[in-house]
Formats: sequence, C-alpha cells, structure tokens
Amino acid sequence: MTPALQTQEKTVDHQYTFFHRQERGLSEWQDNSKRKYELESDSQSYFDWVAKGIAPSKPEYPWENYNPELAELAEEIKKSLYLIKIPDESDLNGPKPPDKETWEKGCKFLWRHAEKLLKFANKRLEKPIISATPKGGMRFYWNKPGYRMLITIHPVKNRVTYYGDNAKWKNWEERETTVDELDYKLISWFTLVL
Amino acid sequence: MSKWGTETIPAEDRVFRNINKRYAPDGVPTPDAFDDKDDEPSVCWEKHCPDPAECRKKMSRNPDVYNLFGVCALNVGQVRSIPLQEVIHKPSKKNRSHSIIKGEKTERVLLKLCEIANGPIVAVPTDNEVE
Repeated sequence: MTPALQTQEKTVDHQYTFFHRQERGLSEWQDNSKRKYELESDSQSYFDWVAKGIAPSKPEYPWENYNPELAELAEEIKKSLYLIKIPDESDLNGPKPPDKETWEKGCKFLWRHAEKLLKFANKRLEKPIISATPKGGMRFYWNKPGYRMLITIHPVKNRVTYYGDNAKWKNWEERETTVDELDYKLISWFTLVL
Repeated sequence: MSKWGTETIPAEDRVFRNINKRYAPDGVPTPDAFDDKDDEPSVCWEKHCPDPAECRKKMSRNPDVYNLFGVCALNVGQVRSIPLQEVIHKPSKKNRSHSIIKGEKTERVLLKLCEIANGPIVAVPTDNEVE
C-alpha cells in the first residue's frame, strides 16, 4: 500500500511560506506576492537559502515587505531614493539633496504611520509627492480634493513638523514631533479625512 | 550697496517668484517652491520689472540656468495677510525690483503661499527648450 503523501508547511518571518512535498522530492517556498520557488530538498532552511543566494535576505527597509494595500506607497518611497543624488540647487530656489540618514528616517516615519493607519483604522494612505527641501530635509505633500497635508522632515534634531486642513470637517492640525515617534494625532487626522 | 533706495510696496501690487522646475512637477508650484534656505525667498516687484520673463532672467544668479525656472505671481496684500509674513523691497546691485518675503516659512505659510500664487505665468520650460 502506498503511504499517504505528506506536505509540510511552515511560515517563517511572516513573509515566506515553506513547503516540503514528499511526493516531488522538492522543497518549495513562496513569498507573500505568491511567487513560488523550488529547491532540492537537501537544504530546507531559509537561512541556508539566503547563504546560497537563492532566497532574498531580509529586506533592508520595512516597505520592501510586500503588502498589497500599501504597494503604491512603497513604490513611491522606493522611487524617492533618487533625491539623495540630485544636484544641489538650493542657490537656484531649488532643493538641496537630503543625506541618506534623513531620507531613511523620513521614509520610515511615513511608513510607520501608514502601517498603523491601515491596522487601526483600515484606511489606506495615499501616495504623497515626495520632495527635498532647500535646507536638505524632505517633504511629503498631499493635495487632494478633500484635504491638504504637508509634512516636513528637518535635517537636524530629528524634527518633524506638519500642517494639514480639510474641507469636510473644516478643521486643521499643526504640530511638531520627532522622526522616531508615532504621532497618534497625525493618525487620527488621517483617519478623519480619508 | 544698492544704488537704488528702498520703497514701500503697496498691497495691491504683485511680485513674481521664480519657480524651480523641480518644484512644479505638473507645471503648478508645490509648497517647496516658496521655501528658501534663509527663510527669505526672493521675489521681483512688478513695478520695476513688469515682464515676468525678464524677471526670470534677472532673478537667476547664473544667467545660463534661467531656463530652470517658471514664474508665478503673488499679490502683496494677500501675502501680508498671512501671519508674520512681510514683503520688503530690497534692491540689489543689479536688480532694482529685488524684494523678499520675510518671516518663518512654516507648513501652514507654505500652503497658503501656494494657494494664493496665481499659477505659473511663464510655463516651466522643458530640458529641451531652446532659449
């Protein structure tokens, strides 16, 4: 009698699901975007696969984790990396490129708030216009039919300042925070207007 | 030292602001366009420079790069209605119309300036534009 075929399944790091299918003599894993990869069964550890260069290593930035609801925002953030390489045009009414640290901190701040907004309020943050300021900081700008929001990531002292207003509730929010914080006022403002 | 004296700019007059094309992605200025590293964005007073295209040239420190800019107009009275903002005539050696918008540029101020800007008068030129 043929033994029942077995499939082992294991989720690692919330991103990758591993399968070992006895009948095929292969291991298979898929990431959250449903791309599948097959491997010989002699190495089943995710870390083995990373070491062999088969599986991607853990993403460097949180927005590199695939999340279909925030995919558009993630794409915009990834594209904004060019800002650190633009020429300094601060003498020409233009931008000064932020350093990489400012870019990282700013994007992490934006992403952190987008994730919490999705988790707590099930609201999807729309992609902003991402720009470099003449002082070497960054800005996120939303100019939408119902609301406006402008967030500045300053290049010094981890300062973040923002102002937003909206037509529907006729209210506004203006505050100062730091890049490492989770600003619940900002989240609740977006919850209201989105 | 400027050879021209400073004057008071009447509220009904307009000033022109050179907009770096990086700050007008769709031909419309974003709030960054009114920010400046010294919180004193330069503008051109219409009285001494009525042609916005001329202003575009005058305000470029390097004349070779003036095609980097578009120009939009701001009503002086509307700018002054924003708290802590003042439009001051500050002629330079070569430019009698040179003025500044003095005051801290918070996000609220930048959005307001963006709102009252009359949109680009001279379209933001493309990279291929031949002047």
